[in-house]
Amino acid sequence: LAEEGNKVTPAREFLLGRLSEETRSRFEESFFDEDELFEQIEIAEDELIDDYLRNELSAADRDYFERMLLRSPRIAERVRVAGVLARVTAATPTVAQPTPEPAVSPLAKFANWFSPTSISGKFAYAAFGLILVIGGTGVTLKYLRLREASQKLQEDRAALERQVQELTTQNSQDRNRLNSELENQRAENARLTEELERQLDRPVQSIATFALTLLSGGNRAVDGGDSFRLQGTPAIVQFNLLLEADNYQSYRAVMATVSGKQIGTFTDLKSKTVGKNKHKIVTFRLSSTRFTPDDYVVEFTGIKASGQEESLRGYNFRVLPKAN
Amino acid sequence: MSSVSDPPAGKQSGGASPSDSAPDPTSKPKWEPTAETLAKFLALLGNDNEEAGKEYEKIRLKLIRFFEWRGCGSADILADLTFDRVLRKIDEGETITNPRAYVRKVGYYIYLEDDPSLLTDLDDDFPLAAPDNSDDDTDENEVRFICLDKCLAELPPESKSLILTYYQNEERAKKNTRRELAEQLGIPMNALRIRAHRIRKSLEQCIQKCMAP
Repeated sequence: LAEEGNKVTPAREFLLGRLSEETRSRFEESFFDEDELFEQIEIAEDELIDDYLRNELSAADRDYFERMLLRSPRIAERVRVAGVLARVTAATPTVAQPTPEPAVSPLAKFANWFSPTSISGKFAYAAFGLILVIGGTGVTLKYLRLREASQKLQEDRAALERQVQELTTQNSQDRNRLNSELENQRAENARLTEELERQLDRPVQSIATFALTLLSGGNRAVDGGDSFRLQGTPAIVQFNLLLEADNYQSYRAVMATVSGKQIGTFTDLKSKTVGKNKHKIVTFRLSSTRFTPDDYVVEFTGIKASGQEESLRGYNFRVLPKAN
Repeated sequence: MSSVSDPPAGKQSGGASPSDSAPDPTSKPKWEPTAETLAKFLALLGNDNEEAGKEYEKIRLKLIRFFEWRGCGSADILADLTFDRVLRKIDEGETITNPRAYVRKVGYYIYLEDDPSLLTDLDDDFPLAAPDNSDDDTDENEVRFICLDKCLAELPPESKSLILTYYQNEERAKKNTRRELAEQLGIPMNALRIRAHRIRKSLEQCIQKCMAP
């Protein structure tokens, strides 16, 4: 019925009132009989709503949509939800994945002890060289000193082997502990997923959300609220970035810890006006579970209609640990 | 065999009287459906109550969409009026062989009737429901946003990923993204549209529940 990339479908024609009364009536007769056709019309309705929101309808179609279809409170609500969905998909953050530490095998660790680049290795080689230089005065003396050096090297080697053994044991214990923690975490995730899925059909409870309003350039917020404390249960943190001026088509915010660990990037952010004083703000949301107690910075960039980017004054905030 | 006659060619202008096959439900004395009539109607829809109930809901949904897509703001009320009239016809001894077609035809008559008490006044109670961007709407939109966030989080990860990817990007980039997504999932484009539509539908139902007072 509907070909991708070709919006002119019978379902769309029907919804836009372009069919003759006779054809329209036959079409209605068909969708009462055929559930598949009915679903295709519902899909065409989805696409029509999206096109209306993106202003991609012709003037005549837009007029028909508003005059006829928006009479329905259901379709009007669908338009509102689609608008919010569009905001979410446009601002879906690209979350930075933590870079794992490179794995080092016990053998490599052992080899490192003898590598000329390691301090202990350098020390051993230097000591051996020193013994050779000093021990040049007599055979006996040489013998005695070499024997002493040999004993020293044997002791050092034994000590190194002990250290390697300890490191190997420690590594194995750490791995077992981490595996165990990982298993526990997976089990907990599975339990939470099951719990959530069980609740899908129940009425949804409201979620804890709080706002953090920030001023640019590290200025403290009026109410001193440039920090938030982690709570026992996850919540949504809404960041309100107050703009000094609104001279850009869109904005980009990159959030990171002061040490540079990236938390998320938000693109295509649009400003909006709030309050009696008509403040311009940019907002986005993140789950509180993304944060650990630390100082954070938000690098802020303004993007002009031409695509030209300008770096703007950033924002700072602090995340405080859970209260005991 | 249904005795509902074919509808007239066009919508009647003011003053036309309802046809015999489509009596005015507002006429006096007021007729009320009985449990027996309802049972007769349900028996036409399925072999047992569960099957009949599902079929009834399906027809009702289609009837509501029928009125909505014809620009009637009070679609659910008109759908109920249609069912009342169908039950009345059953009460009067009408034989119905194809309930879906019969209900649609009666619905069409109701749409055609130019009865101010039936259509115009009802629609006046439901003025243009166009979304506005006024400040009053902002708070409600924030709630809608929070609900969407929450409902998205409750979707299975693969559904969430699909819906966010499917609705990302503007027109041209969107087509490529969707084609790539269909290839990744190994399904035709139309199957992807259906899958996205069903997830969107469940998401909207979740948001509706979340926003309910």
